[in-house]
Amino acid sequence: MNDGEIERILTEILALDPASTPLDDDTALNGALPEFDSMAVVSILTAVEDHYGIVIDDDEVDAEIFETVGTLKRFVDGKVAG
Amino acid sequence: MSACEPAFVDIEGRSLFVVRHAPRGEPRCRVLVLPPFAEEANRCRRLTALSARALAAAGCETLVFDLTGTGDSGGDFAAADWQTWRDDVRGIAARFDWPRAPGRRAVLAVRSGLLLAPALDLAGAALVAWQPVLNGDRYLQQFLRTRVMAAKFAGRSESVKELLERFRGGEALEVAGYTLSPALALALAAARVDESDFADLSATTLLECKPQAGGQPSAPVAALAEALRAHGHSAVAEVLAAEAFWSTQEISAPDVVVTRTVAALTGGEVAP
Repeated sequence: MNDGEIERILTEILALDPASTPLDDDTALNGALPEFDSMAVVSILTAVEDHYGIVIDDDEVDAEIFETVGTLKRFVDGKVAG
Repeated sequence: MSACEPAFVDIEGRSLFVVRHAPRGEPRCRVLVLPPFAEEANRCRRLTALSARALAAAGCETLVFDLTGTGDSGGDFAAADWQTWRDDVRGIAARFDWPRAPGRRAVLAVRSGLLLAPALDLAGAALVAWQPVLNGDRYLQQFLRTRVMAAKFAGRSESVKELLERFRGGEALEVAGYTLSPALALALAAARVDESDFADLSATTLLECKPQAGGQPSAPVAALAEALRAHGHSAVAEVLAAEAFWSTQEISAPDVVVTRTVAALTGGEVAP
């Protein structure tokens, strides 16, 4: 998925400065960014659900999904593809 | 220049922190702010203060206070309960003459603060609600999701369903740093508002924030405005181009929320 939406959601919710924290698929999230806490995770999931019109079950979520920007995009890709 | 007066007031033995933003001269209206829940109260604090200041500059006396066990008010969050919060709202309104205020009186409800509005006599009042929460059950589940996610990332498995069961069993639970008593959790879960709660209002303005302007309000909010209009009441649901100020990691206070709020409560005049 290359619409840039995941990067946009992450940048907005984590209040990142794109200049000092550019996001590419290898950028580490969980454990790497101090802004990345459980409230941020909930906000990101809600934003993704709203934007793509999907429902993410809490059971489907684990820490691995949030390892990097790329792992998150692949997870969302899979959900959107159904 | 309008004045900003902080004070601790005693309401039924509870010490509540209130800031009264007073206009110069006679107020044209009195606005009571109903605060949001837990961490959202911290995130909304700046926007609320800026809006209160702008409202005062436009002639509206605005009361901003912290519920028992929150902010600078006395009491422990872990001991807070919904009925006490309703009593806080009524107590503050009475202390500052809100119910008997001549001319216009208004409520500015921030997020789940709207669920406390039915504690007041709203007849003839104007309402502005920011990103309104209409359903306490859904809201509590979203709040509990934070704990479920934190648990997952710590390698523990929890579910919202299981946490609700534990509340029903009388257990207090910590969520995102807040100790939620079972009484508060279950009362929040039971809290709902619908058009019947707002049938006596003079005008209702429901504001939601999305990244782009011109979007559609969320379905329940649009439905509430529609239901009020269907009964002949003045009601609008609008989307503002603004960040989700109640949840952003860094404090944000979108100016468009301030200006739209002042316009809604003063009929268009926004002081610089």
